[in-house]
Amino acid sequence: MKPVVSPPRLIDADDSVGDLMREAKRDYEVSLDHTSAWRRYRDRPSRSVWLRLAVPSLAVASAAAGWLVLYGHLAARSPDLVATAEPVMHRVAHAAPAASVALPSTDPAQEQVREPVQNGKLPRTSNLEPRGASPVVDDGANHAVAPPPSAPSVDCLAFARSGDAGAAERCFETQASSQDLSAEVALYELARLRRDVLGKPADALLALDEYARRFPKGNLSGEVLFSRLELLVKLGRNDDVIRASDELLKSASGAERAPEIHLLRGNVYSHALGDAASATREYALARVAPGRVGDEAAFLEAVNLEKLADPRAADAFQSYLARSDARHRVEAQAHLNALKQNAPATP
Amino acid sequence: MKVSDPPGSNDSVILAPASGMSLAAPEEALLARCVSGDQAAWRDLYRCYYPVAGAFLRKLGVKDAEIDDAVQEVFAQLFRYLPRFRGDAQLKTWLYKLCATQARRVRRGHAISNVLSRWFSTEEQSTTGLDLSEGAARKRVQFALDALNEGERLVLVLYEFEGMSGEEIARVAGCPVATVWRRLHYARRRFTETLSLGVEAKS
Repeated sequence: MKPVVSPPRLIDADDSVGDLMREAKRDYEVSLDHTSAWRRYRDRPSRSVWLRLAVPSLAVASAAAGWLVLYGHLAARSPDLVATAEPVMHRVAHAAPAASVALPSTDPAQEQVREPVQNGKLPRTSNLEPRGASPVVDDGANHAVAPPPSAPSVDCLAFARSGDAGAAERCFETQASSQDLSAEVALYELARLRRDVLGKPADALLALDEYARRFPKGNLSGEVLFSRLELLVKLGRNDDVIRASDELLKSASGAERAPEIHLLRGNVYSHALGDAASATREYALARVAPGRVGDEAAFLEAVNLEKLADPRAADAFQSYLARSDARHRVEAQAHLNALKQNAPATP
Repeated sequence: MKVSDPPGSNDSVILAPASGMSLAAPEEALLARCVSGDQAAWRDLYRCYYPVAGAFLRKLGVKDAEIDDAVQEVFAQLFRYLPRFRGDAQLKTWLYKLCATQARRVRRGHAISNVLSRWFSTEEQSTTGLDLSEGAARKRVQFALDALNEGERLVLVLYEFEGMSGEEIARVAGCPVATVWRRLHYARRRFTETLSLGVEAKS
């Protein structure tokens, strides 16, 4: 049988359908944050009050009826049997449930207590999101009592939540020494902790560099390389930003976030290197993106054209104002008015 | 981790990936830790695969308002049956399978509620799901995806958006590879036709 050759993918095509699908793919992945998703899921309103009331009531009523029927049946047969059965039933009713799988709990007060799942059934409100997945948020619970960092199931962010960011850093460093996916996550979280909580961007960059060295094709490598760019900007290493972003744009993960990278490069050219022409080129590449990135890029492109005294500046502001999602509408209108006033009078 | 499928359950179809690729070593270590009850490992697994599952469910037509519930259901299945996972296929393939099943459930729920709302509603139903006032690429693509049947949509999304090979798609869809290519052929034709219709209508 003749083997089937895979057809070229529509999404890779250099036409309008390909562009549309690539843009749609980015849209599908926007705002998928596991932390907020988990919170929304946990705090979602009850689907039905009646179900919550009726189901337990029915269960209790059925159990009571069952007991009565059984008791009546046994009593009719033999009073002695009832006397024997009673303690046995009592023991069965109060027996501890058999735990099969331990799952994490959302209750911060029970930080290290594993929740048993009975007979493999996962409760609807059980805690699938392991605690500590959220960013550093103080939930008011006392997390000071945590296991030593070497323990395999330790929640490093619990240290940060309890105010001991140093312990959290050491904990992540320990976890990062392994070779599996948890090491990847630990290095990424370590960088976030150092950057956002400890205020050590240089050390955060070291963690990301280590990630890139150890896991060049890791699960988080796209995110890591982009975070690395942001850190380089923060550290003022502008030449490194341009070089690293050039490489990132050539990679598959970079291509997915190309508009964001071009926007960042435009900002570096515009604000740090004072190169309005290069900034304009970068912004032009980023303005096709939907949402905030495209909006920001379109506006800044017009601003830089104005800086360059380019005659296309007025048109750029006008086309920006035609956008339905223009967030700098007032500012853009002011620029456009100024340009019109300063324009030389045509004979 | 070599165990048999759970007996007597429809879910058994989706639980055990067919033979094929082997697990990558780090992933295998992580799964082993999950099975041993390591909470940190569960957390890592959830963090890494939440965006994958969420984006895939969206493409299969699950609405944003239902994504959280649907993803949690998928992970509930994953956590519940992970100890039975044989480990002879990629975790991502299995996750896609769980997502496809969940998306089917959600759509089935919609079908029932749509029938009920038609019975009890006196308002006129909208004839088109496409909001032409908004040019968001995702809406246009979703409109075209919704025009496909379930099997075609799954194959097209896995091939075009997730970049999977025919063999991998066959494992997720539970059908022969030849069927995958046939579905893909018709799906691509209908998909591009609907997309172009949307573009014409918009212009």
